[in-house]
Amino acid sequence: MSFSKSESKRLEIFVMLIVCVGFLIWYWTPQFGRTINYSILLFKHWFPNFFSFLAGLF
Amino acid sequence: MILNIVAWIVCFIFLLAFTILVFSVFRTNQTAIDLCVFTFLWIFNISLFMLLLGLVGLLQPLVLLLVSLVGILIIFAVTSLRKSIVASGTQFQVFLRVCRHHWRELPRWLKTFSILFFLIGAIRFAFLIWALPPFVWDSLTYHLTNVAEWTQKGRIFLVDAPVVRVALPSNYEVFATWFTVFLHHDAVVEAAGIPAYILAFLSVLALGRRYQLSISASWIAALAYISTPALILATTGTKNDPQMAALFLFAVVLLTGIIGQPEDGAGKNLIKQIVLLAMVMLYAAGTKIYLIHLLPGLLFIGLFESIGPKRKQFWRQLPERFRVSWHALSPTVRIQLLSSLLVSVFMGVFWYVRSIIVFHNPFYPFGLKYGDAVILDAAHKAFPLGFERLPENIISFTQKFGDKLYKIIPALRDTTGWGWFGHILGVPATIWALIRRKHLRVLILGFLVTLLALFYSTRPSPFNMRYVIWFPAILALGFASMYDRILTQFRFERFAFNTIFAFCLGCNLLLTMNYNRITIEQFSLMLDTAVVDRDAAILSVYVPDEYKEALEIVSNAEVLGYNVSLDGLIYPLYRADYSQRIVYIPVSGDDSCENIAARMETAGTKWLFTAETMTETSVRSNLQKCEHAGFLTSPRRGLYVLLEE
Repeated sequence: MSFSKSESKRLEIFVMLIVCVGFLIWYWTPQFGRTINYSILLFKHWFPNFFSFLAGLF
Repeated sequence: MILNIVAWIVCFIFLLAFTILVFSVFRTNQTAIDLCVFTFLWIFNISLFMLLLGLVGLLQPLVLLLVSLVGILIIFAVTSLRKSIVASGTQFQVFLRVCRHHWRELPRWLKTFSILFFLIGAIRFAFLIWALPPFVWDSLTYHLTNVAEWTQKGRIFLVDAPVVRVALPSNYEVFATWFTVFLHHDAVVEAAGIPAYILAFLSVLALGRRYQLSISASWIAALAYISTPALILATTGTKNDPQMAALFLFAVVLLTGIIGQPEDGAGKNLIKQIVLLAMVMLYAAGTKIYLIHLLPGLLFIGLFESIGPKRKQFWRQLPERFRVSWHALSPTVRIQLLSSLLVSVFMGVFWYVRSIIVFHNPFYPFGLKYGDAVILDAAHKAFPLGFERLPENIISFTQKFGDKLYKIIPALRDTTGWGWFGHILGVPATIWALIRRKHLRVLILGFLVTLLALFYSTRPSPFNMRYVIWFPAILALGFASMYDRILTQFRFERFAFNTIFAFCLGCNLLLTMNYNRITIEQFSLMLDTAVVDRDAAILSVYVPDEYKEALEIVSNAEVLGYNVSLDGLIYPLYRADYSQRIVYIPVSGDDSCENIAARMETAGTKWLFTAETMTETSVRSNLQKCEHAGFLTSPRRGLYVLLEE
């Protein structure tokens, strides 16, 4: 079985995509929990504070 | 205050006009590189202006206003200078057209994403700068101590402080003074890192273009790099690491440009580019000593890029190119280049010469060790040379890799700080690029050599990845080079990579919204405090309560004596508006109470501030002894008052 140039390029990129998804799964823990925690913090506190900061400006 | 703001604006206009004039000498007509050149020259000229006026004791808003007005008058009185400024208007229009053209070349999703990214990033920076006073440890010990003293006294001098690192090269601190001297307040001092952040973005963009990446891919690389948590957090952390990262990346851009110029058809610019590279390196040398660690990587890139298969003629042609380039310069330009070089030498070596004269060690307070042999004595810490550190640092790096040991904070404790993009897309793509993209190989290896050089001579420490925040730039370029290989007909793969890219950058932004260090209570406290009163002493991230308590008692009409250790916090004592005059009172565990009292009287203070976690135990015991002996009294924990005889 042989691949054309375009197909082999595509295969290479596809393999890289799988590798990157692998890295994503590996990095996910515990970073995702942390990121989500910060996001919750952000929406619960940062934004209200930010809007009070904006209100303070005017 | 309004007059001070007017002074700041006039000063800004003068330095902008001056930068336009200098820029006209170094212009390359390559959009991305010209943007880098302009940003660098702007940072450089502000620093030079502040340093020169600071050394002669003229750092007062009104004096700066007068000097700037005279400068503006001269620029508009001299016909050639005026013409040059007027011509820059037309050039700017052309430049904007080119930028618009490049912007249109970006895919729609990337344009939308970029606008959102910049918008959220700008709001985040503005809010954090406005809401919080400086709080990063090193800043509160020595970076901002210099800024506070210089702003308060109106001159640049060697500060007398127990934290001996105040004597380190201080171009960044000089630049940061620009953000405090007019307002006489630290409300916007954290913004001093933003120009370096912009330069870092532009340098990665220029580097991408230099290595024949498409505009989209180069843009993606630049965006990815500036989303790196380590860089974002350090930018408003009032430290000099982002500036060093930006200067290093810009130096790589210039270096690869000098080597690649025959193909670019810009050989006549060779001398200008060499002078500019020298300016960048000298400015960096005057910013942080660890430029020395970065040199091996730059030499590696310079050497191996110049002997590559397409550059066989480089060294042979160099003298001829140099000669042609020299003859192409007008006498005026030669003088301008020489003057630029001379002032850069001044900015680069000034701090080292000062240290040689005062301390007989150019790297004071750092020393140098090879194995057990001391090459240079250290007042603070010695840089170890020798391979025994290398494996230790590599092991430490492997543990930090993945950012799993600790959350990412500005001090980068036990993390790389490379974040979502760097680990997920950057690392695998760069390994791929190392194998598959020959023309990027030397650049990637050059970055790795620099990393190893740093690991070779840095003490193993949980915090030492702060010196490596330039490295994710190569991860971003590695991904960009792979991105260029995804043909437009590979729609699924493109979509998948675009989605992961946007997800990673989004997560990086989310992860860095509040430094991961400030609690909600601290945020609320700061926002409930008026902007002018947001003292670093109130934000108790690292600052113990004794600081706040002392400032509640001691009036800012009085001089406050203090004693902290070699790594103690000094800056919070100045207050946000730099109204508190402070003086270091050296005390040892063996000093007699009479001696301590005499020192305080000589220094013109009746107050002596100490803090449990900041002052040596022996000193605190001695002061308690003097309190019992009736020399001192203590109205608050850690704060002593000299009793009248």
